[in-house]
Amino acid sequence: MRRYAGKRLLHLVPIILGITFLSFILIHSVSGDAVDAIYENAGAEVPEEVKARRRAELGLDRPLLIQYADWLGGLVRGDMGVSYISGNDIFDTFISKLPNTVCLTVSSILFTVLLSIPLGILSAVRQNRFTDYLIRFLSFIGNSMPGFFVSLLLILIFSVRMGWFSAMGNDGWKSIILPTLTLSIAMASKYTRQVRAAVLEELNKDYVLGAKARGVKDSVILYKSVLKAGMLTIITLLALSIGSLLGGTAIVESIFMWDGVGRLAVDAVTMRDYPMIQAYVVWMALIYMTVNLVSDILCQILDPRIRLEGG
Amino acid sequence: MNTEKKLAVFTAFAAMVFLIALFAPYLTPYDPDAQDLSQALMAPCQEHMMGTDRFGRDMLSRVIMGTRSSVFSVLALVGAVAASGTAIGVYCGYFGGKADTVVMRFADICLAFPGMVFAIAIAGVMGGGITNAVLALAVISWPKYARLARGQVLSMQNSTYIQAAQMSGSGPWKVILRHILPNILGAIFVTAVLDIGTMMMEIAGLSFLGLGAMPPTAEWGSMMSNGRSMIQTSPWVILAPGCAIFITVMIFNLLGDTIRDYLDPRRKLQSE
Repeated sequence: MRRYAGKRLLHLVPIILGITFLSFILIHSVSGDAVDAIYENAGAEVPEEVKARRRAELGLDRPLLIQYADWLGGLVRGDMGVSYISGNDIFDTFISKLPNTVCLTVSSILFTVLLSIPLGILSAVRQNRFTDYLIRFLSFIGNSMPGFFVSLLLILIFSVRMGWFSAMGNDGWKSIILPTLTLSIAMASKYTRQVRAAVLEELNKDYVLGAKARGVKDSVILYKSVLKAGMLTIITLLALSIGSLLGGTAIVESIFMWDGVGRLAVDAVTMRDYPMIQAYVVWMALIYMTVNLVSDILCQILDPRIRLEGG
Repeated sequence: MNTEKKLAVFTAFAAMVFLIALFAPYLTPYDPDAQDLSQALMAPCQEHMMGTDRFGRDMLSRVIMGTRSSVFSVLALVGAVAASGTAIGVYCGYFGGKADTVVMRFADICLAFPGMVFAIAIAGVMGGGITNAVLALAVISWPKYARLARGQVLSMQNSTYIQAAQMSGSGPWKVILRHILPNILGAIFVTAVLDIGTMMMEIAGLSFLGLGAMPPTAEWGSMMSNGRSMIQTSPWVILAPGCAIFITVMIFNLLGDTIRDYLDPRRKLQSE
């Protein structure tokens, strides 16, 4: 077990280097000259010597790889420079907004699980009957609606027509409901189908037939064996979906004025605040990677079959 | 309904969407870009079946024109990504070696970024425009196809018919074109069709954030973004393009599911 985790961590090193290098190059190639960007709004024309001195000060005249190493060192220490726009420390700003996004992500995942697992099981158990068709129909609809359309529809229904929530801005604890619903509807539609498929696959296995023949109750087979086996697929899929969720929050956060990193990134993009975009990409990738690692290790712990294969 | 019938119906729907996109300029009742402020924000009525936006532009005409940018950009995206990804994957799988290691490591790195996050960053860095949005999504989507194609090639490389072809003197390109590609195109095609809906939503999402199509281009995502502030007074400004995306995505999703079922070898076994 420990060896597996160690091996996985080692594999991550080149990927982390790749992620950070790619993000560095991506931003570096366009922002190219941070000095020009800094002085862009200075009003008056700034003489070249001043710019050159500032460049030397910031180390922008050094070779690319050195700059990257330097930047990476800063990343590890939590020093990512200051925002071009507000002049605030990037890392501090990012960290201060992160809890809001994590909160939204966690509540969406919880709600997705609460919705999709029972519905998926129900759909599988009632295969090809009315309930199954209804659930599949609804999940199909949820799957074909882009998040921003869902959020606008929810605003239209619950804020404009019913007046239950204020459409945008702060509403205390209530303001998390609509964004969570938006994110969960899309995810739950996908997972309901996958839970259904996973459960159906397990139900068709011989051990289920064997257990039935021995007179084990259907509910016992379902909850004791089938669910346990199907759980792994679901954990892996959930971990993978964190990626799309992290990206999806950007749109939803900016619609609902949710003060998280997604909205921060969208604002940074509109204002061309390159260091902020960079921080967003790097940290989101690192978070995504960590979540995937944890889920893989979790699967190892939960599933003796993988444990044996992995050695 | 059996799979063949479904396939025919959904193909017909998809073809219809494609034709609307192709002949959009001839189908619009009004000029989609003509502003008439005296008719701004009219509710759906006889003259304007989907109402008008805040510049008095006819929503129906704009939705029809929007089909064009949505459908063409998504087809270009999926086509390019599927073709390039497959080519890279087949090459890496068949020849292996250092190129394979390097390219696949690079693919791993691309996959390590959460999809839309990377796309937002790329589109943000490159600036708006639908071409840039498509490029940004292409950068994050090709590894999926490369991996799929590579895996398929690796799994069939040791099969006897490939070995027979190699032994009877077929060069690598002949083996790839004549024996490998025809066998993996089905899987690639199904993945590609199933991707159309998702990609369409992602392009529209980028446009919604202001990172895709630029106004005054009629594009569904940016139309909805522009209409956001008017949701309380004139919801049709959002509902019309929203429903257009929803219906189009649904058609392509249904088509994808049906094609997958149709090409699934187990289906034939079951019907026998």
